[in-house]
Amino acid sequence: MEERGIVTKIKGKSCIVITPEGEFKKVPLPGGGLTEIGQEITFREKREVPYLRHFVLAASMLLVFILAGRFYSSQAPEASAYMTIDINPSIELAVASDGTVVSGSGLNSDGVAIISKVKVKGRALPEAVELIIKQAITDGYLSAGQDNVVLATITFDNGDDAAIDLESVYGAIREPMDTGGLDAEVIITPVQPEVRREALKSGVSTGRFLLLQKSAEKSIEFSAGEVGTINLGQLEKEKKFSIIHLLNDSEQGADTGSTGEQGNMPDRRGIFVERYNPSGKNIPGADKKLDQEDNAADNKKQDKDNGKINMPGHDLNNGNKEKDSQRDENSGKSKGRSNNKDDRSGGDQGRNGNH
Amino acid sequence: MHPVQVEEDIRKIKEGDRLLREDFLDNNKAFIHKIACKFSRRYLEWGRDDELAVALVAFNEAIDRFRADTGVPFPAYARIVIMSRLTDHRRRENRNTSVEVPLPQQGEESNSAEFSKAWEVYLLETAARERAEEIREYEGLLREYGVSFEDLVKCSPRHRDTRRSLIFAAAELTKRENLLKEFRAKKKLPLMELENCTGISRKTLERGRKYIIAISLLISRQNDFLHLSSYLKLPVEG
Repeated sequence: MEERGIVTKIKGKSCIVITPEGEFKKVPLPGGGLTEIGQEITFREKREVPYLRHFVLAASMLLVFILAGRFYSSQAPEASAYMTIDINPSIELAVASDGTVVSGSGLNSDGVAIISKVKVKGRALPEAVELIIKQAITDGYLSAGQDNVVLATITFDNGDDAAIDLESVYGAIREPMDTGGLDAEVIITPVQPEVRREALKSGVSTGRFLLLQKSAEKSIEFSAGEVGTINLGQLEKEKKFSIIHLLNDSEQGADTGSTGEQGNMPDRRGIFVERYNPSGKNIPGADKKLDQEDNAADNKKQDKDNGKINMPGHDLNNGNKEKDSQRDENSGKSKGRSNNKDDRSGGDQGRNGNH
Repeated sequence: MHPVQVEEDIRKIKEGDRLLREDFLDNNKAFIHKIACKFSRRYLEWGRDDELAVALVAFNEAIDRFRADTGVPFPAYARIVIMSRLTDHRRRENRNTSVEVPLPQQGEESNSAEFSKAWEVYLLETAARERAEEIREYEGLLREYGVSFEDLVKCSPRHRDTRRSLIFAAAELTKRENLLKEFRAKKKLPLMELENCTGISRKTLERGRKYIIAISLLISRQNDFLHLSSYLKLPVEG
């Protein structure tokens, strides 16, 4: 509202006016032209200024907090953990400390396509993972006729790993593939937050970034471009390496010496490495293995007892032997894999028989 | 002279209300007298001194000439007209030929366009100068009572009703001769008495102390602060 007043005093950039209502007010000097005492000026009603200023301040701060909150909830801190899933599509899920998915984002074009088709926000992580895997199957990224690899990484923001039950996540990945009769290598590995950060910088998913890192150590060559887009199953095939080997090996490398002969794998609840055979019979075995993965070399035998012959998962247990022996195993890898395939077909048959 | 009432009266007089004009002139004789005395720097008497007659005619002229849209309140306007006419009169008395006439005589409307324009410029400049002088004088007067414009900004009641009741208190004060005397002598508000005669709580009066002082001074010396007191919507002087 425009108000009028006679200037009674000029001080610096403001002046005191007296209004027809009998109010004395301090208002900014009007710009343009000389203002003199006794002159009548018009000014904007600013009655609420002292309160308004505080209110505006408070409101804007509130706004900042709200915006920041929104921003973070979709990107960072509110999420206590991140999970990436790489098939060919790469997807990252931000997970809150209560285990629900805060947001999901596609890390490459296929990932974006998948995430746009499923609603993961607000769901429990295993549920979300299952939806994503199902969608990947529907869209043909995972199919019966090929070497399927699902690589999942989990990054815990502050070492707070309580939020995610890895086994249920593992189950959630396997479950849809099981029903679809798919064969897949499922790898879940925890990674350090630094790795994720660097992965974000380089623009690929944490899982793929990890592969890239490890492969460099292993002098298996593939380009960042390949890692970014190619289907992992294909990648494995082409380059003749096992992701599992790769990851395991470096895990071991990182933790060398921290454990004795016994505790080969560091006490991480995270590494599930498995060539899943959907014959069904080794599911219980697999679960057992999960529980026991920290146990020492004895596991080898136990695994065999459980019918997991030639599972690359073995390497997990062997992982903490000296590197040399590991290398040996790696060299025998391709053979192992072919054996594995044979096994699988047998398993399929067995399952069909069961039905 | 309440500004709104005055302008309403002038409008009616211009429309031809002769009786009202007589009343209006009569009521403002004190005002005219004061201006004329101030101009002449001596006490004037009705019927004896020409200046008063000139001033009265000038006041009557001011009623006809007055235009609200100039932004100059009527009392101030009238004073300027009166002072101009008195100046003219003095020049004539001193046998000076009137070389420059700032205010065109009535009836000389033939070349009035030029004249009235010059007059308007003169009027506005004079009014502006007067206002500035008035404010400086008012500021000095306030200072005597230990009040500054800055103080008034701080304690000006923001709520209209509070402001009205404080203005009412100030009007009550100026209405009572004894209170006004006490106020002027001690430079302090007789809060107790004010509380009694206005019924406004002591607390409110206390808080608005400086404001009441400022408004009381404005009302009680309305004729010295023509511009300011007309500008403010103040109640009629008692």
